[in-house]
Amino acid sequence: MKYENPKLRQMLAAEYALGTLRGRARRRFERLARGETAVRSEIRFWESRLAGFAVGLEPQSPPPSVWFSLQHAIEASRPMVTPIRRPVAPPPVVTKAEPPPASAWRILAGLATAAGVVLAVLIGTRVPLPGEHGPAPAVATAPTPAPALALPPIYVSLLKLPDSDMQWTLALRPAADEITAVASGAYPKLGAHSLELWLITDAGPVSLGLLPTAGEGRLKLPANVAGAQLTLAVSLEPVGGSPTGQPTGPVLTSGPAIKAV
Amino acid sequence: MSYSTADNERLVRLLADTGLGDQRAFAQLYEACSSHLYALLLRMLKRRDWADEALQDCFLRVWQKADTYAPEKGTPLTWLLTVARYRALDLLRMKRPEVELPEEGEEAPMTFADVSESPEDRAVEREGLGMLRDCMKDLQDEQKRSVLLAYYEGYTHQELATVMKAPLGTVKSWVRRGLARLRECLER
Repeated sequence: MKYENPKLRQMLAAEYALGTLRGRARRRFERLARGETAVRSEIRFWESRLAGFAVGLEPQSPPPSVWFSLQHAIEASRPMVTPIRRPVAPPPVVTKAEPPPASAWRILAGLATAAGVVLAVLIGTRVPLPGEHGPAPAVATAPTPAPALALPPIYVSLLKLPDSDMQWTLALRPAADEITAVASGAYPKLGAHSLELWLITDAGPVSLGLLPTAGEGRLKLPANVAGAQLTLAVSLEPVGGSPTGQPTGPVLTSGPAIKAV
Repeated sequence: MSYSTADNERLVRLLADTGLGDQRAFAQLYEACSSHLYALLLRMLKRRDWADEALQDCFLRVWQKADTYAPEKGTPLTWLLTVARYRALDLLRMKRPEVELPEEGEEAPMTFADVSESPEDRAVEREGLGMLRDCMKDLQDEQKRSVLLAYYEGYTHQELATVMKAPLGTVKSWVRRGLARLRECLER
């Protein structure tokens, strides 16, 4: 083919970008473009102009599973250390500056403190700092443990399974490392599978365990949580849960858990 | 483009940071652009599982190759859309023969009815297409349809001939004349 003909090169560049140039002719043209700036810029002219057809389409939200898989793939190639366990109970009296904890935890802790302060301002309640005891109750009764007075945060969430009346009401109690999940509605027959609940964090999804398909169940909350809102997701997994520690099946539903207290 | 200059500058920055391995920037880039790419992939591939796969491939590629982006390759969004579209074309080439076009080619594929409603009503009538939309008006109907079918359906000349029920040579000249006319107009 005579590539010296500028009209022909323009046409090939247009058909390359449109996709109608196929097979061997396409590969040949690709090789030509590698060596010739003019050809490359002609291809780019068409690529950027034709993209206008795509910009006109109504945006469509991809399912969360795509992002999960991406994160998983990225983290596999570039390990990132983010401690998710809560540290052991905070020291009762802080006298000196502690050695700096791992940065991720520091950020999370900072967020938690900030959220606590914001919340205290919003609802006019004094939130005791770690190591501080709550104000004494006005009416003396049996000594009450501090956490009850400190109003440890509770996050609540309602997750519905699309195309069914199945839903879960969830209460997450970070202070107790515990989640209560109440299932209601008719569980659709999805075959021999488990439904796994995930907390979506900056470092990727963190498994919270398997959801009950009927009645009430208790799950562990293994992660540090902070902020006004958390994001949860439910994926379909092999019986017993994901074998990899990351979501492997489709995400069936996802939604926020709102800080209620 | 429906993106403002400020949006565009933000995307350029996010893409640059992504190229340096910044996961947070990558997440924001995904947040800002994935729904546009997904719309195109769904439109071309018709199947959610394929679109999911293609979207993931694209962004993985973007994560690995973000540092190869340069402004002369277009705005970040058009660059990302181009990456997505080429990925979709590859997937169609690999996967469509067995499902989409019947052996005999007697019947037009299902996608034909869909497109004959005129994709230009859905796409070209929207704002943000500016010059491209105006220039498409210069094309004759068959030229316009063949270009749009090739763009949105990823059809080859042969597939276009089947779908448009016209000889291969005729379809090729529709595509070429359409593109030539479009180029003249876009250059103006």
